[in-house]
Amino acid sequence: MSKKFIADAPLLVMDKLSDFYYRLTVEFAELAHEARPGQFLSLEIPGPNAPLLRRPFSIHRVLDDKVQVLFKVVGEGTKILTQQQPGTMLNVMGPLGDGMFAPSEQAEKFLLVAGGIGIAPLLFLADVLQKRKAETLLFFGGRTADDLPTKDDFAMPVTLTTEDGSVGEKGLITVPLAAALQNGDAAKIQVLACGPMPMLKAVAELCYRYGAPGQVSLETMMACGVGSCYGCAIEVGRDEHGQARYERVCHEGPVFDVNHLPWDDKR
Amino acid sequence: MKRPNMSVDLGRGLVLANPVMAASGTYGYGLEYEDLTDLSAIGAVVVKGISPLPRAGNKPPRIVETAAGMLNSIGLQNPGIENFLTQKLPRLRDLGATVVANVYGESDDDYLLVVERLSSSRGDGVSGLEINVSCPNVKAGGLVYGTQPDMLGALVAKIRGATDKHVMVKLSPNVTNIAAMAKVAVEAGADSLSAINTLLGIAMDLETGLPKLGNVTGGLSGPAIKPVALHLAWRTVRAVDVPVIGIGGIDNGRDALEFIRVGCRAVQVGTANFRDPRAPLLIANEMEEWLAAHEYTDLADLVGTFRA
Repeated sequence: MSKKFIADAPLLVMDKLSDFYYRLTVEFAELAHEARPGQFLSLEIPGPNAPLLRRPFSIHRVLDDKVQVLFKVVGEGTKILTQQQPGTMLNVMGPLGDGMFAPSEQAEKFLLVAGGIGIAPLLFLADVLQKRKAETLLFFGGRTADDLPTKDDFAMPVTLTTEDGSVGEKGLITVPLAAALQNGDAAKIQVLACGPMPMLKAVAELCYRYGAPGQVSLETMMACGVGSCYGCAIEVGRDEHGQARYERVCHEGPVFDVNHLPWDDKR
Repeated sequence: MKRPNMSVDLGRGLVLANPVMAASGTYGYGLEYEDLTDLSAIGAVVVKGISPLPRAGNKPPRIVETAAGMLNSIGLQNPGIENFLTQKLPRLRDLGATVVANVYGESDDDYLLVVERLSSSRGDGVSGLEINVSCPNVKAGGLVYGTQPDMLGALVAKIRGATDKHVMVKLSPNVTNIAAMAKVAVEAGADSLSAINTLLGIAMDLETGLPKLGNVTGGLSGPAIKPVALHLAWRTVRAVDVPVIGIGGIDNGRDALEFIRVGCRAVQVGTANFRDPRAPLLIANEMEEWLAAHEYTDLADLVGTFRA
Protein backbone atom coordinates (compact mmCIF):
# COMPACT_ATOMS: atom_id res chain seq x y z
CA MET A 1 0.00 0.00 0.00
CA SER A 2 1.40 3.37 -0.91
CA LYS A 3 1.34 6.32 1.44
CA LYS A 4 -1.23 9.00 0.63
CA PHE A 5 -0.75 12.74 0.78
CA ILE A 6 -3.06 15.75 0.65
CA ALA A 7 -1.92 19.33 0.16
CA ASP A 8 -2.49 22.53 -1.73
CA ALA A 9 -0.09 22.18 -4.65
CA PRO A 10 0.92 24.99 -6.99
CA LEU A 11 -0.36 24.71 -10.55
CA LEU A 12 2.67 25.21 -12.78
CA VAL A 13 1.24 24.70 -16.26
CA MET A 14 -2.21 24.43 -17.84
CA ASP A 15 -1.50 23.28 -21.36
CA LYS A 16 -4.33 23.29 -23.90
CA LEU A 17 -3.63 20.42 -26.31
CA SER A 18 -6.84 20.81 -28.33
CA ASP A 19 -10.41 21.99 -27.87
CA PHE A 20 -11.17 19.24 -25.38
CA TYR A 21 -7.86 17.91 -24.05
CA TYR A 22 -5.69 19.65 -21.47
CA ARG A 23 -2.56 18.71 -19.59
CA LEU A 24 -1.85 20.29 -16.22
CA THR A 25 1.29 20.13 -14.14
CA VAL A 26 1.43 20.59 -10.37
CA GLU A 27 4.38 20.50 -8.03
CA PHE A 28 3.92 17.91 -5.30
CA ALA A 29 7.18 16.13 -4.46
CA GLU A 30 5.88 13.59 -1.93
CA LEU A 31 3.12 12.45 -4.26
CA ALA A 32 5.44 12.39 -7.26
CA HIS A 33 7.96 10.17 -5.48
CA GLU A 34 5.36 7.74 -4.15
CA ALA A 35 3.29 7.36 -7.32
CA ARG A 36 3.34 4.23 -9.51
CA PRO A 37 1.85 3.79 -13.00
CA GLY A 38 -1.88 3.11 -12.91
CA GLN A 39 -2.48 5.04 -9.70
CA PHE A 40 -4.61 8.15 -9.65
CA LEU A 41 -5.03 11.37 -7.72
CA SER A 42 -8.04 13.49 -6.90
CA LEU A 43 -8.44 17.23 -7.25
CA GLU A 44 -10.78 19.58 -5.47
CA ILE A 45 -12.27 21.77 -8.18
CA PRO A 46 -11.78 25.36 -6.95
CA GLY A 47 -14.22 28.23 -6.86
CA PRO A 48 -17.80 29.00 -5.84
CA ASN A 49 -19.39 27.06 -8.70
CA ALA A 50 -17.36 23.92 -8.09
CA PRO A 51 -19.13 20.58 -7.99
CA LEU A 52 -19.53 18.94 -4.59
CA LEU A 53 -17.14 16.05 -5.07
CA ARG A 54 -13.46 15.87 -5.92
CA ARG A 55 -12.55 14.64 -9.38
CA PRO A 56 -10.33 11.59 -9.86
CA PHE A 57 -7.66 11.60 -12.59
CA SER A 58 -5.05 9.08 -13.68
CA ILE A 59 -1.49 10.12 -12.94
CA HIS A 60 -0.34 10.93 -16.46
CA ARG A 61 3.34 11.41 -15.85
CA VAL A 62 5.84 12.09 -13.09
CA LEU A 63 8.74 14.43 -13.80
CA ASP A 64 11.00 14.75 -10.75
CA ASP A 65 8.87 16.63 -8.18
CA LYS A 66 6.10 17.39 -10.65
CA VAL A 67 2.95 15.46 -11.45
CA GLN A 68 0.96 15.75 -14.66
CA VAL A 69 -2.71 15.11 -15.32
CA LEU A 70 -4.12 14.71 -18.82
CA PHE A 71 -7.84 15.36 -18.90
CA LYS A 72 -10.76 15.77 -21.23
CA VAL A 73 -13.38 18.46 -20.71
CA VAL A 74 -16.57 16.49 -20.05
CA GLY A 75 -18.57 18.66 -17.64
CA GLU A 76 -18.62 21.67 -15.33
CA GLY A 77 -15.83 20.42 -13.07
CA THR A 78 -13.30 19.88 -15.84
CA LYS A 79 -14.38 23.12 -17.51
CA ILE A 80 -13.62 25.09 -14.32
CA LEU A 81 -10.29 23.29 -14.13
CA THR A 82 -9.28 24.56 -17.58
CA GLN A 83 -9.78 28.15 -16.39
CA GLN A 84 -7.16 27.88 -13.62
CA GLN A 85 -4.07 29.98 -14.07
CA PRO A 86 -0.51 28.95 -13.23
CA GLY A 87 0.25 29.94 -9.65
CA THR A 88 -3.17 28.84 -8.41
CA MET A 89 -3.06 26.36 -5.55
CA LEU A 90 -4.97 23.16 -6.27
CA ASN A 91 -5.96 20.77 -3.49
CA VAL A 92 -4.45 17.45 -4.56
CA MET A 93 -4.75 14.05 -2.87
CA GLY A 94 -2.84 10.94 -3.82
CA PRO A 95 -1.41 8.70 -4.98
CA LEU A 96 -4.58 6.62 -4.75
CA GLY A 97 -5.44 3.04 -5.68
CA ASP A 98 -3.61 -0.10 -4.60
CA GLY A 99 -4.33 -1.75 -7.94
CA MET A 100 -1.63 -0.45 -10.24
CA PHE A 101 -0.12 -1.66 -13.49
CA ALA A 102 2.17 -4.53 -12.62
CA PRO A 103 4.42 -5.27 -15.61
CA SER A 104 5.21 -8.97 -15.51
CA GLU A 105 8.82 -10.12 -15.14
CA GLN A 106 8.10 -12.99 -17.55
CA ALA A 107 6.72 -10.85 -20.36
CA GLU A 108 9.05 -10.14 -23.26
CA LYS A 109 6.79 -7.65 -24.97
CA PHE A 110 4.26 -5.15 -23.66
CA LEU A 111 1.28 -3.99 -25.66
CA LEU A 112 -0.18 -0.75 -24.34
CA VAL A 113 -3.76 -0.21 -25.50
CA ALA A 114 -5.66 3.05 -25.16
CA GLY A 115 -8.99 4.45 -26.28
CA GLY A 116 -9.29 8.25 -26.27
CA ILE A 117 -8.59 9.78 -22.87
CA GLY A 118 -7.65 6.26 -21.69
CA ILE A 119 -4.18 7.21 -22.89
CA ALA A 120 -3.77 9.28 -19.71
CA PRO A 121 -2.03 6.72 -17.43
CA LEU A 122 -0.03 5.02 -20.18
CA LEU A 123 2.72 7.61 -20.62
CA PHE A 124 3.81 7.13 -16.99
CA LEU A 125 3.73 3.37 -17.59
CA ALA A 126 5.71 3.76 -20.83
CA ASP A 127 8.38 5.74 -18.96
CA VAL A 128 8.78 2.94 -16.43
CA LEU A 129 8.85 0.20 -19.08
CA GLN A 130 11.45 2.06 -21.09
CA LYS A 131 13.73 2.26 -18.08
CA ARG A 132 13.54 -1.54 -18.09
CA LYS A 133 14.40 -1.48 -21.80
CA ALA A 134 11.39 -3.70 -22.45
CA GLU A 135 9.95 -3.98 -25.96
CA THR A 136 6.81 -1.88 -25.84
CA LEU A 137 4.21 -1.03 -28.48
CA LEU A 138 1.29 1.37 -28.29
CA PHE A 139 -2.13 0.72 -29.84
CA PHE A 140 -4.15 3.90 -29.65
CA GLY A 141 -7.67 4.35 -30.99
CA GLY A 142 -10.03 7.30 -31.06
CA ARG A 143 -13.25 8.41 -32.70
CA THR A 144 -11.45 11.02 -34.78
CA ALA A 145 -7.97 12.51 -35.16
CA ASP A 146 -8.87 14.86 -32.29
CA ASP A 147 -9.18 11.97 -29.86
CA LEU A 148 -5.53 10.92 -29.95
CA PRO A 149 -3.94 13.34 -27.47
CA THR A 150 -0.21 12.97 -26.64
CA LYS A 151 0.25 10.31 -29.33
CA ASP A 152 3.55 11.91 -30.33
CA ASP A 153 4.95 11.66 -26.80
CA PHE A 154 5.39 7.89 -27.00
CA ALA A 155 8.91 6.91 -28.11
CA MET A 156 7.89 3.48 -29.39
CA PRO A 157 6.10 1.93 -32.37
CA VAL A 158 2.60 3.41 -32.36
CA THR A 159 -0.43 1.98 -34.18
CA LEU A 160 -3.32 4.41 -34.55
CA THR A 161 -6.93 3.84 -35.56
CA THR A 162 -9.87 6.20 -35.84
CA GLU A 163 -13.53 5.39 -36.31
CA ASP A 164 -13.80 7.99 -39.08
CA GLY A 165 -10.51 7.03 -40.75
CA SER A 166 -9.05 10.53 -40.35
CA VAL A 167 -5.81 9.10 -38.90
CA GLY A 168 -4.47 5.55 -39.17
CA GLU A 169 -6.62 2.59 -40.14
CA LYS A 170 -10.35 3.16 -40.08
CA GLY A 171 -11.96 1.07 -37.37
CA LEU A 172 -11.41 -0.06 -33.82
CA ILE A 173 -8.03 -0.44 -32.15
CA THR A 174 -8.81 -4.04 -31.24
CA VAL A 175 -8.37 -5.07 -34.90
CA PRO A 176 -4.59 -4.39 -35.06
CA LEU A 177 -4.28 -5.57 -31.45
CA ALA A 178 -5.78 -8.94 -32.43
CA ALA A 179 -3.30 -9.22 -35.29
CA ALA A 180 -0.36 -8.48 -32.97
CA LEU A 181 -1.50 -11.12 -30.50
CA GLN A 182 -2.09 -13.66 -33.28
CA ASN A 183 1.32 -13.10 -34.81
CA GLY A 184 3.28 -13.10 -31.57
CA ASP A 185 3.87 -15.59 -28.77
CA ALA A 186 0.87 -14.42 -26.74
CA ALA A 187 2.03 -16.11 -23.55
CA LYS A 188 5.13 -13.89 -23.54
CA ILE A 189 3.11 -10.75 -24.19
CA GLN A 190 1.37 -8.63 -21.57
CA VAL A 191 -1.50 -6.35 -22.52
CA LEU A 192 -1.97 -3.18 -20.44
CA ALA A 193 -5.09 -1.19 -21.33
CA CYS A 194 -7.15 1.83 -20.41
CA GLY A 195 -10.19 3.18 -22.21
CA PRO A 196 -13.97 2.96 -22.45
CA MET A 197 -15.64 -0.16 -21.08
CA PRO A 198 -16.64 -1.66 -24.47
CA MET A 199 -13.00 -1.41 -25.60
CA LEU A 200 -11.73 -2.99 -22.38
CA LYS A 201 -14.22 -5.80 -22.78
CA ALA A 202 -13.01 -6.44 -26.33
CA VAL A 203 -9.41 -6.34 -25.08
CA ALA A 204 -10.25 -8.88 -22.37
CA GLU A 205 -11.84 -11.18 -24.95
CA LEU A 206 -8.68 -11.02 -27.06
CA CYS A 207 -6.54 -11.78 -24.02
CA TYR A 208 -8.64 -14.90 -23.35
CA ARG A 209 -8.67 -15.95 -27.00
CA TYR A 210 -4.91 -15.76 -27.45
CA GLY A 211 -3.90 -16.63 -23.90
CA ALA A 212 -2.17 -13.34 -23.18
CA PRO A 213 -2.08 -11.95 -19.65
CA GLY A 214 -3.75 -8.57 -19.41
CA GLN A 215 -4.54 -5.74 -17.05
CA VAL A 216 -7.12 -3.01 -17.47
CA SER A 217 -7.66 0.31 -15.73
CA LEU A 218 -11.29 1.12 -14.92
CA GLU A 219 -13.16 4.36 -14.34
CA THR A 220 -16.28 4.92 -12.21
CA MET A 221 -17.97 7.69 -10.27
CA MET A 222 -16.16 8.14 -6.96
CA ALA A 223 -16.88 10.00 -3.76
CA CYS A 224 -14.01 9.40 -1.31
CA GLY A 225 -11.29 7.96 -3.58
CA VAL A 226 -9.61 6.18 -0.67
CA GLY A 227 -11.75 3.09 -0.10
CA SER A 228 -13.91 4.41 2.71
CA CYS A 229 -17.32 4.95 1.12
CA TYR A 230 -17.72 1.91 -1.17
CA GLY A 231 -19.44 4.16 -3.71
CA CYS A 232 -17.28 3.11 -6.67
CA ALA A 233 -17.85 -0.62 -6.29
CA ILE A 234 -17.93 -2.91 -9.32
CA GLU A 235 -18.96 -6.53 -9.49
CA VAL A 236 -16.00 -8.91 -9.60
CA GLY A 237 -17.89 -12.18 -9.58
CA ARG A 238 -20.46 -14.19 -7.67
CA ASP A 239 -20.27 -16.44 -4.65
CA GLU A 240 -21.74 -19.96 -4.41
CA HIS A 241 -25.18 -18.50 -3.57
CA GLY A 242 -25.20 -16.32 -6.67
CA GLN A 243 -24.59 -13.24 -4.54
CA ALA A 244 -22.52 -10.60 -6.34
CA ARG A 245 -19.11 -9.78 -4.88
CA TYR A 246 -17.99 -6.18 -5.16
CA GLU A 247 -14.64 -4.45 -5.01
CA ARG A 248 -13.75 -0.78 -4.96
CA VAL A 249 -12.30 0.71 -8.14
CA CYS A 250 -10.55 3.32 -5.95
CA HIS A 251 -8.92 0.83 -3.60
CA GLU A 252 -8.58 -2.69 -5.02
CA GLY A 253 -8.27 -0.96 -8.43
CA PRO A 254 -8.30 1.05 -10.56
CA VAL A 255 -6.16 -1.52 -12.41
CA PHE A 256 -7.48 -5.08 -12.40
CA ASP A 257 -6.26 -8.28 -13.96
CA VAL A 258 -8.61 -9.21 -16.83
CA ASN A 259 -9.15 -12.61 -15.16
CA HIS A 260 -10.41 -10.90 -12.02
CA LEU A 261 -13.44 -9.34 -13.72
CA PRO A 262 -16.58 -11.16 -14.91
CA TRP A 263 -17.04 -9.39 -18.31
CA ASP A 264 -20.65 -10.65 -18.30
CA ASP A 265 -19.33 -14.22 -18.54
CA LYS A 266 -18.40 -13.71 -22.20
CA ARG A 267 -14.96 -15.28 -21.81
CA MET B 1 -7.80 35.71 22.72
CA LYS B 2 -8.58 32.96 25.19
CA ARG B 3 -9.30 29.59 23.64
CA PRO B 4 -12.86 28.51 24.39
CA ASN B 5 -13.57 25.13 25.93
CA MET B 6 -14.56 22.84 23.07
CA SER B 7 -14.88 19.52 24.87
CA VAL B 8 -18.27 17.87 25.13
CA ASP B 9 -19.39 15.21 27.60
CA LEU B 10 -22.29 13.35 26.00
CA GLY B 11 -22.71 11.09 29.02
CA ARG B 12 -22.04 7.46 29.91
CA GLY B 13 -18.38 7.60 28.96
CA LEU B 14 -18.60 9.32 25.60
CA VAL B 15 -16.42 12.42 25.95
CA LEU B 16 -15.31 14.35 22.87
CA ALA B 17 -12.24 16.57 22.78
CA ASN B 18 -14.14 18.74 20.31
CA PRO B 19 -17.74 18.66 19.06
CA VAL B 20 -17.08 17.47 15.49
CA MET B 21 -17.37 13.78 14.69
CA ALA B 22 -16.89 12.10 11.33
CA ALA B 23 -20.25 10.64 10.29
CA SER B 24 -20.79 6.96 9.69
CA GLY B 25 -20.39 5.76 6.12
CA THR B 26 -18.27 8.74 5.12
CA TYR B 27 -15.09 7.90 7.00
CA GLY B 28 -14.78 4.15 6.54
CA TYR B 29 -13.11 2.67 9.60
CA GLY B 30 -10.97 5.77 10.00
CA LEU B 31 -7.87 3.85 8.95
CA GLU B 32 -8.37 4.82 5.32
CA TYR B 33 -7.44 8.34 6.45
CA GLU B 34 -4.51 7.44 8.66
CA ASP B 35 -1.99 9.06 6.27
CA LEU B 36 -4.11 12.14 5.66
CA THR B 37 -5.20 13.38 9.08
CA ASP B 38 -4.66 12.96 12.81
CA LEU B 39 -7.43 10.55 13.79
CA SER B 40 -6.83 11.13 17.51
CA ALA B 41 -7.67 14.82 17.13
CA ILE B 42 -11.15 14.21 15.66
CA GLY B 43 -14.03 14.56 18.17
CA ALA B 44 -14.98 10.97 17.36
CA VAL B 45 -14.80 8.71 14.36
CA VAL B 46 -18.17 7.06 13.80
CA VAL B 47 -17.19 4.01 11.81
CA LYS B 48 -19.12 2.55 8.91
CA GLY B 49 -22.14 0.42 9.85
CA ILE B 50 -21.19 -3.00 11.22
CA SER B 51 -23.41 -6.06 10.81
CA PRO B 52 -23.01 -9.56 12.30
CA LEU B 53 -21.74 -11.01 9.02
CA PRO B 54 -20.09 -9.38 6.00
CA ARG B 55 -22.52 -7.72 3.60
CA ALA B 56 -21.98 -7.44 -0.16
CA GLY B 57 -23.84 -4.15 -0.59
CA ASN B 58 -26.06 -2.91 -3.40
CA LYS B 59 -25.84 -3.15 -7.15
CA PRO B 60 -23.81 -0.31 -8.72
CA PRO B 61 -23.90 2.50 -9.62
CA ARG B 62 -24.06 3.47 -5.98
CA ILE B 63 -23.46 7.21 -6.02
CA VAL B 64 -24.54 10.16 -8.10
CA GLU B 65 -23.85 13.85 -7.70
CA THR B 66 -26.94 16.07 -7.53
CA ALA B 67 -27.50 19.81 -7.07
CA ALA B 68 -25.51 20.74 -3.94
CA GLY B 69 -25.52 17.16 -2.82
CA MET B 70 -25.25 13.52 -3.66
CA LEU B 71 -27.31 10.37 -3.54
CA ASN B 72 -25.84 7.12 -2.28
CA SER B 73 -27.14 3.60 -2.16
CA ILE B 74 -24.15 1.69 -0.81
CA GLY B 75 -26.29 -0.86 1.01
CA LEU B 76 -24.05 -1.18 4.05
CA GLN B 77 -21.27 -3.15 2.40
CA ASN B 78 -19.06 -4.05 5.36
CA PRO B 79 -16.74 -6.83 6.48
CA GLY B 80 -18.75 -7.80 9.59
CA ILE B 81 -18.17 -7.52 13.33
CA GLU B 82 -15.38 -10.11 13.61
CA ASN B 83 -13.30 -8.36 10.98
CA PHE B 84 -13.87 -5.03 12.72
CA LEU B 85 -12.78 -6.39 16.10
CA THR B 86 -9.66 -8.11 14.79
CA GLN B 87 -8.55 -5.98 11.81
CA LYS B 88 -9.73 -2.43 12.48
CA LEU B 89 -10.27 -1.72 16.17
CA PRO B 90 -6.77 -2.61 17.46
CA ARG B 91 -5.19 -0.13 15.03
CA LEU B 92 -7.76 2.55 15.88
CA ARG B 93 -6.89 2.03 19.55
CA ASP B 94 -3.17 2.35 18.80
CA LEU B 95 -3.79 5.60 16.96
CA GLY B 96 -5.71 7.00 19.92
CA ALA B 97 -8.96 7.62 18.03
CA THR B 98 -12.21 8.17 19.92
CA VAL B 99 -14.37 5.50 18.31
CA VAL B 100 -18.14 5.28 18.01
CA ALA B 101 -19.27 2.05 16.38
CA ASN B 102 -22.29 2.23 14.09
CA VAL B 103 -24.40 -0.91 14.58
CA TYR B 104 -26.70 -2.38 11.96
CA GLY B 105 -28.83 -5.49 11.75
CA GLU B 106 -31.77 -6.96 9.90
CA SER B 107 -33.39 -8.15 13.15
CA ASP B 108 -33.29 -7.52 16.90
CA ASP B 109 -30.96 -10.49 17.28
CA ASP B 110 -28.57 -9.10 14.66
CA TYR B 111 -28.31 -5.77 16.45
CA LEU B 112 -27.87 -7.47 19.82
CA LEU B 113 -25.13 -9.75 18.56
CA VAL B 114 -23.08 -6.79 17.35
CA VAL B 115 -23.80 -4.77 20.51
CA GLU B 116 -22.76 -7.67 22.76
CA ARG B 117 -19.48 -8.26 20.93
CA LEU B 118 -18.66 -4.54 21.04
CA SER B 119 -19.53 -4.46 24.75
CA SER B 120 -17.25 -7.38 25.65
CA SER B 121 -13.60 -6.84 26.52
CA ARG B 122 -12.85 -7.26 22.81
CA GLY B 123 -14.63 -3.97 22.22
CA ASP B 124 -12.29 -1.98 24.48
CA GLY B 125 -11.60 1.29 22.73
CA VAL B 126 -15.17 1.71 21.53
CA SER B 127 -16.55 4.70 23.43
CA GLY B 128 -20.07 4.59 22.14
CA LEU B 129 -22.55 2.78 19.93
CA GLU B 130 -24.57 4.53 17.27
CA ILE B 131 -27.65 2.46 16.47
CA ASN B 132 -28.43 2.67 12.77
CA VAL B 133 -32.21 2.58 12.53
CA SER B 134 -32.31 4.94 9.59
CA CYS B 135 -30.36 3.54 6.63
CA PRO B 136 -32.70 3.96 3.65
CA ASN B 137 -30.80 1.59 1.36
CA VAL B 138 -31.47 -1.85 2.80
CA LYS B 139 -34.51 -4.11 2.48
CA ALA B 140 -34.59 -5.18 6.13
CA GLY B 141 -33.58 -3.46 9.36
CA GLY B 142 -32.38 0.13 9.21
CA LEU B 143 -35.20 2.44 8.24
CA VAL B 144 -37.77 -0.28 8.92
CA TYR B 145 -37.00 0.22 12.64
CA GLY B 146 -36.62 3.96 12.37
CA THR B 147 -40.13 4.49 11.03
CA GLN B 148 -42.03 2.18 13.40
CA PRO B 149 -42.14 3.45 16.99
CA ASP B 150 -43.01 0.11 18.59
CA MET B 151 -40.16 -1.71 16.87
CA LEU B 152 -37.75 1.11 17.65
CA GLY B 153 -38.65 1.23 21.34
CA ALA B 154 -38.38 -2.52 21.76
CA LEU B 155 -35.01 -2.64 20.00
CA VAL B 156 -33.47 0.23 21.95
CA ALA B 157 -34.71 -1.25 25.25
CA LYS B 158 -33.05 -4.58 24.43
CA ILE B 159 -29.81 -2.83 23.46
CA ARG B 160 -29.92 -0.79 26.66
CA GLY B 161 -30.14 -4.03 28.62
CA ALA B 162 -27.18 -5.51 26.76
CA THR B 163 -24.54 -2.79 27.10
CA ASP B 164 -23.05 -0.32 29.52
CA LYS B 165 -21.67 1.75 26.67
CA HIS B 166 -23.12 5.02 25.49
CA VAL B 167 -26.07 4.36 23.16
CA MET B 168 -26.73 6.97 20.46
CA VAL B 169 -29.73 6.40 18.19
CA LYS B 170 -29.48 7.81 14.67
CA LEU B 171 -32.84 9.10 13.53
CA SER B 172 -34.31 9.19 10.05
CA PRO B 173 -35.79 12.27 8.41
CA ASN B 174 -38.10 10.00 6.42
CA VAL B 175 -40.86 10.13 9.04
CA THR B 176 -43.82 12.45 9.62
CA ASN B 177 -43.01 13.11 13.28
CA ILE B 178 -39.35 12.92 14.27
CA ALA B 179 -40.17 14.17 17.78
CA ALA B 180 -42.28 11.08 18.44
CA MET B 181 -39.46 8.77 17.32
CA ALA B 182 -37.00 10.75 19.45
CA LYS B 183 -39.16 10.34 22.56
CA VAL B 184 -39.58 6.61 21.99
CA ALA B 185 -35.80 6.13 21.69
CA VAL B 186 -35.07 8.14 24.84
CA GLU B 187 -37.78 6.44 26.90
CA ALA B 188 -36.25 3.11 25.87
CA GLY B 189 -32.87 4.18 27.21
CA ALA B 190 -30.95 6.06 24.52
CA ASP B 191 -28.18 8.27 25.95
CA SER B 192 -28.18 10.57 22.94
CA LEU B 193 -29.75 11.00 19.50
CA SER B 194 -28.09 11.84 16.23
CA ALA B 195 -30.19 13.51 13.54
CA ILE B 196 -30.48 13.18 10.64
CA ASN B 197 -29.64 10.30 8.34
CA THR B 198 -30.10 10.81 4.59
CA LEU B 199 -33.33 11.73 2.81
CA LEU B 200 -34.72 9.28 0.26
CA GLY B 201 -34.36 10.43 -3.33
CA ILE B 202 -34.14 9.45 -6.98
CA ALA B 203 -31.95 10.60 -9.85
CA MET B 204 -32.86 9.75 -13.44
CA ASP B 205 -31.32 9.85 -16.89
CA LEU B 206 -34.06 11.64 -18.79
CA GLU B 207 -32.97 10.40 -22.24
CA THR B 208 -33.04 6.70 -21.37
CA GLY B 209 -35.59 6.92 -18.58
CA LEU B 210 -33.32 4.79 -16.41
CA PRO B 211 -32.54 5.43 -12.74
CA LYS B 212 -28.97 6.59 -12.16
CA LEU B 213 -28.58 4.31 -9.12
CA GLY B 214 -28.56 0.52 -9.37
CA ASN B 215 -30.83 0.41 -6.33
CA VAL B 216 -33.21 3.00 -7.93
CA THR B 217 -33.51 5.03 -4.70
CA GLY B 218 -30.73 6.44 -2.55
CA GLY B 219 -30.07 8.72 0.38
CA LEU B 220 -29.53 12.42 -0.25
CA SER B 221 -26.76 14.19 1.65
CA GLY B 222 -24.64 17.32 1.35
CA PRO B 223 -25.34 21.06 1.60
CA ALA B 224 -28.72 20.58 -0.13
CA ILE B 225 -30.18 19.02 3.02
CA LYS B 226 -28.84 21.43 5.63
CA PRO B 227 -32.04 23.47 6.12
CA VAL B 228 -34.06 20.27 6.47
CA ALA B 229 -31.53 18.84 8.91
CA LEU B 230 -31.44 22.02 10.96
CA HIS B 231 -35.22 21.98 11.26
CA LEU B 232 -35.37 18.34 12.28
CA ALA B 233 -32.46 18.68 14.73
CA TRP B 234 -34.32 21.63 16.29
CA ARG B 235 -37.51 19.60 16.62
CA THR B 236 -35.57 16.71 18.11
CA VAL B 237 -33.86 18.93 20.67
CA ARG B 238 -37.22 20.31 21.80
CA ALA B 239 -38.70 16.81 22.21
CA VAL B 240 -36.12 15.25 24.53
CA ASP B 241 -33.71 16.09 27.33
CA VAL B 242 -30.71 14.01 26.21
CA PRO B 243 -27.90 15.39 24.03
CA VAL B 244 -28.68 15.69 20.33
CA ILE B 245 -25.93 15.46 17.72
CA GLY B 246 -26.74 17.44 14.58
CA ILE B 247 -26.00 15.97 11.15
CA GLY B 248 -26.84 17.08 7.65
CA GLY B 249 -25.00 19.15 5.09
CA ILE B 250 -22.45 20.68 7.46
CA ASP B 251 -19.69 22.08 5.26
CA ASN B 252 -17.91 24.59 7.51
CA GLY B 253 -17.68 25.92 11.04
CA ARG B 254 -20.55 28.35 10.61
CA ASP B 255 -22.89 25.56 9.49
CA ALA B 256 -21.89 23.52 12.52
CA LEU B 257 -22.50 26.44 14.91
CA GLU B 258 -26.04 26.83 13.59
CA PHE B 259 -26.74 23.29 14.79
CA ILE B 260 -25.27 24.22 18.18
CA ARG B 261 -27.55 27.26 18.33
CA VAL B 262 -30.68 25.14 17.76
CA GLY B 263 -29.61 23.08 20.75
CA CYS B 264 -27.31 20.33 19.48
CA ARG B 265 -24.39 19.51 21.78
CA ALA B 266 -22.19 18.22 18.99
CA VAL B 267 -22.29 17.58 15.26
CA GLN B 268 -21.30 15.02 12.68
CA VAL B 269 -19.73 15.88 9.36
CA GLY B 270 -20.34 13.50 6.48
CA THR B 271 -20.31 14.38 2.80
CA ALA B 272 -17.81 17.21 3.43
CA ASN B 273 -15.23 14.50 4.20
CA PHE B 274 -15.33 13.45 0.54
CA ARG B 275 -14.28 16.93 -0.45
CA ASP B 276 -11.54 17.12 2.17
CA PRO B 277 -10.78 14.32 4.65
CA ARG B 278 -9.46 16.95 7.04
CA ALA B 279 -12.97 18.49 7.25
CA PRO B 280 -13.74 17.41 10.86
CA LEU B 281 -10.59 19.13 12.15
CA LEU B 282 -10.93 22.15 9.89
CA ILE B 283 -14.55 22.65 10.94
CA ALA B 284 -13.72 22.29 14.64
CA ASN B 285 -11.02 24.94 14.22
CA GLU B 286 -13.42 27.28 12.45
CA MET B 287 -15.94 26.83 15.26
CA GLU B 288 -13.31 27.60 17.87
CA GLU B 289 -12.19 30.73 16.02
CA TRP B 290 -15.75 32.00 15.72
CA LEU B 291 -16.42 31.38 19.40
CA ALA B 292 -13.20 33.11 20.43
CA ALA B 293 -13.94 36.07 18.16
CA HIS B 294 -17.38 36.37 19.76
CA GLU B 295 -15.89 36.09 23.26
CA TYR B 296 -17.41 32.77 24.17
CA THR B 297 -15.36 30.88 26.74
CA ASP B 298 -17.27 27.63 26.35
CA LEU B 299 -19.05 26.05 23.39
CA ALA B 300 -21.80 25.03 25.84
CA ASP B 301 -22.81 28.68 26.21
CA LEU B 302 -23.95 28.77 22.58
CA VAL B 303 -26.11 25.65 22.88
CA GLY B 304 -29.80 26.45 22.45
CA THR B 305 -29.37 30.15 21.73
CA PHE B 306 -31.46 30.07 18.57
CA ARG B 307 -33.83 33.04 18.90
CA ALA B 308 -36.90 31.51 17.25
